[in-house]
Amino acid sequence: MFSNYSFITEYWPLFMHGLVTTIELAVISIVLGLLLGIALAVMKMSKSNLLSLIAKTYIGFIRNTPLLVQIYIVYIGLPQLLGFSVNDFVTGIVALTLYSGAYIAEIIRSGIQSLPVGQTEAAESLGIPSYRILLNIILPQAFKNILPALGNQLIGNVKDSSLVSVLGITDIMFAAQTVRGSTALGLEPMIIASALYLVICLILNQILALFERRMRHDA
Amino acid sequence: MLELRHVTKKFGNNTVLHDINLKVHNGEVVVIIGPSGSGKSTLIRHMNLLEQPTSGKVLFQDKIISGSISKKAQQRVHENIGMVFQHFDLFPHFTVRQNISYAPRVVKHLSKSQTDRQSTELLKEMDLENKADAYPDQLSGGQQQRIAIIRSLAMNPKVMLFDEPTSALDPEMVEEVLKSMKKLAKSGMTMVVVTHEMGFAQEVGSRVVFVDRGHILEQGTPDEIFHHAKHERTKNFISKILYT
Ligand SMILES: Nc1ncnc2c1ncn2[C@@H]1O[C@H](COP(=O)(O)OP(=O)(O)O)[C@@H](O)[C@H]1O
Ligand SMILES: [Mg+2]
Repeated sequence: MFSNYSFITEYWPLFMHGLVTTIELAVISIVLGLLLGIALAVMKMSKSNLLSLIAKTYIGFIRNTPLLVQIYIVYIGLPQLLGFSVNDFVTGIVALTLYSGAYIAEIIRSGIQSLPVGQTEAAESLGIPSYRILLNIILPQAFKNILPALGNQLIGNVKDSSLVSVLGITDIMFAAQTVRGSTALGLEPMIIASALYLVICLILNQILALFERRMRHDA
Repeated sequence: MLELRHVTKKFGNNTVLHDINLKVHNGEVVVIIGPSGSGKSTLIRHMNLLEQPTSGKVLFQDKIISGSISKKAQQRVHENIGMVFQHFDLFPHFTVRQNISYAPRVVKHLSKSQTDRQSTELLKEMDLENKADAYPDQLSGGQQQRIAIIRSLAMNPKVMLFDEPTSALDPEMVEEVLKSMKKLAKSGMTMVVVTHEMGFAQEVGSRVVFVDRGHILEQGTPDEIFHHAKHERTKNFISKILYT
């Protein structure tokens, strides 16, 4: 019953296009999410109660609501906020960035807090400005510690990106749905989709393991 | 040069320093001793803005540096008052030379050739010139602490603070760090040193201050404190550090 894979020849380009889109979604949103995460982590740890509260509230909201709901909020809310329509791919990137940024913020915060407080105090007592302490002293050390967690987040982004196909973004999931709609096949296109996700994630795991080993040797 | 005036410090309900008055004059080497938990670290940390007094004032060169002061005033404190910590706190992802040169580069905007020359010179003085390209974790504790001293000196401070600089070291490395500190004291540097190294205090200390449960119980020349202390608690403490 799972033997009807002749659709592959016809739809292979669609799946390959979907694969590229999925990777783009994951990579762009992890990079932007990293920037957002750094900003949120700094806000949450800041001496200003207001900034800290804003960050806490935001992170709490993201972590305690479903991604699918957030995607719809961005899809409907973003054009209203900006006053012009937004292309679906950008909408997907924004939603995934807002989502992963909250999780990355928590990763970064724990990475920073695991460093000895003496690092900051030594830097302060030398008169080094606080933005430089953050960028050149604290973050580089924190990143070493949190690289595995960030890698997991990247893999999470690959998988979570499948949800944005509801916006009509032509990722792997969208290709599978298209095949389902136009061939009346049920399981087969989903099996192809999961195989593609699996391949991406397994390759990423290998790359990350390599990175980690390299980092450990450098240290 | 440095002064604590009626400084009281509370952490929550816990009063750690009670009405501390202490003046450090130009060229003096003030040694602070006292039992663990008596408030020595808290006291010395008031001298470079790492702690703020709950009440009272801290002055540097007759200007108030406690409370909310301008960024520029904070900068003046950091550039003129160096600090060496118990656990060295070198930047582990920087080489020795980068550790020494980073602050002069970004704070004083010295050029790379200037800081290279300076770091080479300082390393030579400490017999560490072959370690310029090493990372901190490739060095012994004693070497790391001497690099930490150099890192502070590279800012050309007028005062150097030391908070138990040898207490995290293996015994055989204590002497090399003390030697560097003695050399610095003899060069005329104003120093405030929390330490129980009596030899150091005897040789270069101008004054010994005994801190007990958040009070300065007594102070005087090394000879006065170590051999002719007035208070029983001081005598007890001294005999403890002498015979352990
Ligand atoms: N940041 C802090 N928060 C709360 N309590 C502190 C803090 N720093 C020091 N203390 C308390 O203040 C007291 C004095 O500590 P400290 O100055 O480190 O003593 P010492 O250096 O003489 O061992 C201790 O009881 C310590 O627990
Ligand atoms: Mg202490």
